[in-house]
Amino acid sequence: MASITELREGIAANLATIPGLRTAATIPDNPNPPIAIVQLNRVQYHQDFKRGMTEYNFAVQVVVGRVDERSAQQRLDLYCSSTGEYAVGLAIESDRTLGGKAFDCIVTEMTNYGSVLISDVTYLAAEFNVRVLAS
Amino acid sequence: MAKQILTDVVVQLNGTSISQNVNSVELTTTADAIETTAFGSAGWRTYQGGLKSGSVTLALHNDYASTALDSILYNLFNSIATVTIFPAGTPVGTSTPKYEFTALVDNVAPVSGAVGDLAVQNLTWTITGAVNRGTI
Repeated sequence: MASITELREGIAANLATIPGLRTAATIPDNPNPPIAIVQLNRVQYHQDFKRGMTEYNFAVQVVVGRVDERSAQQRLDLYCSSTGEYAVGLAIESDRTLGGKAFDCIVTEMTNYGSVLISDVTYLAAEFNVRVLAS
Repeated sequence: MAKQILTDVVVQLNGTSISQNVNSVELTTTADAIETTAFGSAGWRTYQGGLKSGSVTLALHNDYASTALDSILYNLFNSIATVTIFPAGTPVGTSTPKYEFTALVDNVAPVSGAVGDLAVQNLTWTITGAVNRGTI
């Protein structure tokens, strides 16, 4: 049986394979971009009898600095790509059992590409939805 | 409990529990309605029960690992399997009954789903013989 902390850490460990991308398994007060922050969105219990499966939905927010808007977007585009060494989806799915803690996981979509305000600083960010099936 | 939310239903196939791969289960029994309408029925049709039959429908989350659900089901294909359902879990008692019967595993669906979907098997099997409700 997996704990939510173990699943978060598994996603963060997979994201850490992306060159130069910092990762945070929990939400930091002052993020230091580029950084991928793993947040829990939703838990659906009792997907099978006898607690055979629980479905977790995580949101991975990838935040990049916005000093130069053009280069920031180009960098974020790399993270949003479906292929390549910077592709967030590929990295998360590089070990779909999240270190043996999950049955399976899949990155379903990227949403909310745009500016975000964190601690009075504007960054560029995109959000990836991750569906995790675990016991 | 006067009413019950189904969370701990136990489903066994030939004595092996597959509960943790079962998303839903439905056991249905029916009896033929044999018409006995005659003159003197006051204009209303009348019936009596005839032969009984049943079916069981399972929504399953597939597992392709060795000796896991997929291999269990595929090995049962086109055979008779003993199915036992404990709606309120175990142990069996007067308020936690079990239903036991044999079913013809005449269909399995080893692969079902589109890209990104959970691998599932949605199966309905015909019951052969009696459905027994037990409380001990």
